[in-house]
Parts: sequence; C-alpha cells; structure tokens
Amino acid sequence: MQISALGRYIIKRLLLLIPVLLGVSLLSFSLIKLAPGSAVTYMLGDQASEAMVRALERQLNLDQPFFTQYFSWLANALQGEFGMSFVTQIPITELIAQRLAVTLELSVIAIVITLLIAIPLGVAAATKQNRLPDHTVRFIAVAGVSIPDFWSGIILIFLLGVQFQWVAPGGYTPISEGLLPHLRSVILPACILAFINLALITRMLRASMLDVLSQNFIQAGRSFGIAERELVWRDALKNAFIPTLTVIGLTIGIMLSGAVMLETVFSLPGLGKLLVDAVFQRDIPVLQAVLTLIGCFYVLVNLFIDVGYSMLDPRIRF
Amino acid sequence: MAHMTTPDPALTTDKFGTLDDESRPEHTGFLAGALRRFRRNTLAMVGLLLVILLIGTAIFAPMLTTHDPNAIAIADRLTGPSATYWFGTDNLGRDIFSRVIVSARVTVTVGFGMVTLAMVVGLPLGAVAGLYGGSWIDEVIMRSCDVFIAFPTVILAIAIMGAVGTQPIDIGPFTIGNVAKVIVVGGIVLAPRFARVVRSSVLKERPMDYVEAARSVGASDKFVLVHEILPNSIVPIVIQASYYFATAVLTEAALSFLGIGVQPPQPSWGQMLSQSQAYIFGGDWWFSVFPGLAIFFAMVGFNLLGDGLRDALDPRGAR
Repeated sequence: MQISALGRYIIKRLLLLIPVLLGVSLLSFSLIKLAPGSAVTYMLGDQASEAMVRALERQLNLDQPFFTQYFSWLANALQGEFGMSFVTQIPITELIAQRLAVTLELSVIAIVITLLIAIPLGVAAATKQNRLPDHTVRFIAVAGVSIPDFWSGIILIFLLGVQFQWVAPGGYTPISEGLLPHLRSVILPACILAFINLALITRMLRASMLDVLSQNFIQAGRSFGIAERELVWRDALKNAFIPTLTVIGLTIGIMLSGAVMLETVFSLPGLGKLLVDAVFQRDIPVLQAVLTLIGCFYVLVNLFIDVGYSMLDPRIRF
Repeated sequence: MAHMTTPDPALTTDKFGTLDDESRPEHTGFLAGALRRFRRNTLAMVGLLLVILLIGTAIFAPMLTTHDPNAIAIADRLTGPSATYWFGTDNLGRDIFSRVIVSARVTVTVGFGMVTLAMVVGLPLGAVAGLYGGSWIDEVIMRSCDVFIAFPTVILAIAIMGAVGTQPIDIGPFTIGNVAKVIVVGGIVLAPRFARVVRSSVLKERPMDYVEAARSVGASDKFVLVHEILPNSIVPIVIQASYYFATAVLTEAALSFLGIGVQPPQPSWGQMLSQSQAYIFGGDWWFSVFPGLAIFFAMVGFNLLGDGLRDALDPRGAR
C-alpha cells in the first residue's frame, strides 16, 4: 500500500514535470522575441550589410513563424544540439561542455567547505543555545543573505589577493599548470559561495536539531543512560538532516546565481561567465541555451529533493 | 517539517516550567501584541531603523549631498576619504559620498516599483489559484508560475535584461526608460514567487469555519476572497514583501553591476562598484567599500525587518 502510494506520487510529479520543462524551454526561447526591433539587427548592430542580416536570419530560422522556429529549436535541443554561437561560431553544446567544469568545481568545493563548517556549527548552536556558536549562526544567517557576493568578491580580492597575495587576484589557472596555483585561483570564490550557503544550512540545521532534541526518543535515550555525545551526534543529527535536505534546492539556486556574479568578478571561465558574456555580445542563441539548461537543472533537482524527502519521511505527502 | 509528537507529560514536565509570556494567552489584541513583540526585538528595531534611514536618505537626497554627484574634478581623482570628500573620490574625481546618497533614491524607487508590480500581478493570481485550489484554474496558474520560479531571480533578470537591451523603448507616445525597464523585469521575475506565497496562504484559510459561515449565508466567491480570506491571510504576504524588497535591491545592484541595469548619468550602487573594480589593484579601497556598504545596510535592513515581522506577527511559526 505504502509503496504504491509513493509510486503514484512519483508518477504524478513526473507527469507534472513535462509542462513545466516545456514552459522553461519556451520562456528561454522567447528571449529572441524580446530583443528590440529585429533580433538580427540587435545582434549584428546597425552597420550590418543586407547579406549578413539575411544569412543570420536563415541560420536562426527567423523567416519562419514563431512556433515553427520554437519546435525546430526544441527538437534539436532535445538531441543536445543548440546550434552555433553567433559570435564565435563554435557549437553551443561544445561551449557549455568547456565551461561546465569550472562551475561544477566551484560548487563542489563550496559544498564541501559548507558541510565541514555547517555540521559542527549547527550542532553546537543547538546544544549550546544563546552562547557563542548560537550567536555565530545568527550572525552568519543575516550576513550571508545581506552581503552581495560581487561586493565581498571585490573586497576580498583587494585584501587577500592584492595586499597579502595569498590567493590569485582573479583570473583562472588550469590544473595542468600545477595544483597550488589552480587552487589559489578558485578557493576564494568557493569560500564566498560557501559562506552564503552556510547562512541557510546552519540556520536550518540548528532549528531541526532543536526540534529533534526535544523529542521523546532522545529523552528516552537519555533516561537509558546513553552518552549525550552519542545521542546528539548519532541519533539526533541523522534525524535533523532530513528537513535540512529541503533547503538544498535553495542552495543550488545560490550556487548558480553566485556562479554568475563571482565568475564575472574573478574572471573564471564558467557557465555563469558564459551567460554574462552572451549578454554583452548579444549572443542570443547562447543565452537561450544556458537559460534552458539552468532552468531544467533547477526543476529536476527540486523534483529529486521532494521525492527523496517523501521516501525518507513517509509522513510527508505533497 | 513539523514532527507530530504528542508531548508525554512524564517525559517533558520541564517544558511546563519554561512557558514564556509568548505562549500565555494574550488579553490584548493581535496587533497590539505583535507591536509589543516587535518593539522588544532589538534586531527588528535595527532593521526598521535602517529601512527608515534608507527611505529618508532617498527622499531628502538633494539636501544631503555635499557636492554635485556628477561634477568631474580630474585634479582630485582617486583621493581617499577626507574632510572635503567624506567617502573619497572616484576615477573621475566625483564625490563618492554624494553619489552614494543620490543612488539611494534610485534603489528605493526600483525596489518599491518591483515589489509593487510583483504584488499587483502576483496577488490576484495567487488568490484565484488558492480559492480554486486543486481545480484546473489552479493548475494552469501555478504551473505557469513554476516556469518562472524554475530560474534563480538574478539569473532570469539578467537573461531578460540581456535580451531586451538597455536602450529606451518607444511604445507609441511613451518612452520606457531604463529604470522603468529594470522595474518591469524585476516585477515579472518576482510576481510568480509572490503568487505562490499568496496561494498557500489562501489555501490555509479556505477550510476555516468563518469562510464556511460566509459561504453558507450566500456570499459570492469574490466577496469571500476579498472580504474574508485576504484580510486574514495578509500576514505571510506582508512578511514576504519585506524579504522581496531585499531581493529587489540585490537584483537592481547585480544588474547595474553588470552594466545592464541603471545607466549613467544616473549613478547607482551596483554601477559604482563595477566602475571601482579595476582600481582595487591600485589600492583605492574606498571606491569599492562605500557603495558596497550601502547595498549591505539596505539588505540587512530589509532582512532584519522581515525576520522581525515574522517573529512578531507569526510567533508560532518562528524558530
């Protein structure tokens, strides 16, 4: 009975996913319609010759009705084919593949740093209420969501990159040129991303730890004489982690927006920088592709979280 | 998230000893109690003070500046903070203090515009979806909102502004200027998120007895929604509006930082930060520090205000 209900829930969520994903692709595609005047003159500028305009129009299928354009674009996109970048004439899929690694690496380092700090800090804040760890969590919770990442990026480049020269003051050094120079070029933006994440995760972990610690099974464990340390770190933490999973969807959003701003500030060749470059170069095909990918990724992650959450906690049904 | 545990008196007796006055029955009205809780919350008061300071600066900006914010003085370029130039000067010798002050106005205008637009669009959408919760109307509205919510706010705003461009658009006799464009884009990005909050708030009120009572005496859907449900679901909406102000400030700053938001000659904090970026390598720290601090304090203000409103208006939901 339980399994079939869960199965039905998953199937329902998957079916509801289709219209949303279609909507995401349609919204991303319609960016080309938002360009003032004709997209082609917007991209090429006023100086473009008649022949160039015609050629680009043909390349982008702009001589067709809107929905014909959309469906042929969608059919290609489903096969992983987003066309050519209008500026570099490199296939967009190839561009994205090149850039994805940097953004992924930044995110992975940031998540590792976040968890290394968030777990002990969240636990300490919950067990030592109204003392230093608790105040630290409250401070991070406000500071993390209020300090613009592009500002802290500039200030930290000044302090740690220019004054102390501990890290690279921007620019990307690939790992092939040595591990240390490579780390010096990515560690600072990763730490800034981690700090923003900490704001969300420690607060959530603290709240759900407090919730779990007040429950009967912990009290019962205490009365059986189980060591407090074991109760907190093994039994309570395991249970407190489930609600914390729900904010991971928000974390992914932070990572993506953070990547856009921080890759720009630190000149790192990631997906976010690709998006910003496409904006500056008026490269609408690249804009469409990157936006579609970000949207679909975000929707899928949230689906996995909801489904995973309802599997871990059978009381939850949406 | 809420764990359904029935407190077992044998195990949780200490809980009954720690009842604070928050959980005692209140003899005053809801608003009076909320106001009392808000006033007692230091952080909330700090938030309110910062927001008042920001709005005050925006209103009285022309009286507060010490220099013409756009006056170029090449001889004084990149000088540090001094008695003449409190926050120092930028790469063109313009007074950073005056530019920070003047930018408060565009920040408040854009923030207010974005949140208002998000409300005007999002409130009716969310209210109708909530009222007909579970029906096809609800599905159509909410799935459309999901499409917009599928993108992080800043990224969607960047992409749309990137496609629309920063040039003013002429529609018939009207010219849509740059600031208006930023407001419209931000409002469109925020509206679906707002709709979702309104919907869940309405859904929570719909099964209540007082709604049933109004229905049973023949009140129309519209009457029930406007006169019964919305006044009672206003609390989460107000709280969310405060947080969205912070989001709006950040979105504008990010767009202007990237050069696709507020355009010169109108200065803005994000724009100043992006101009300052190249000068950090020469050690001219004040150029970056002060505009960033302004964004930071505005964000802290709205975030603390939001937290304070949540704690004061919704004491059970607060953690």
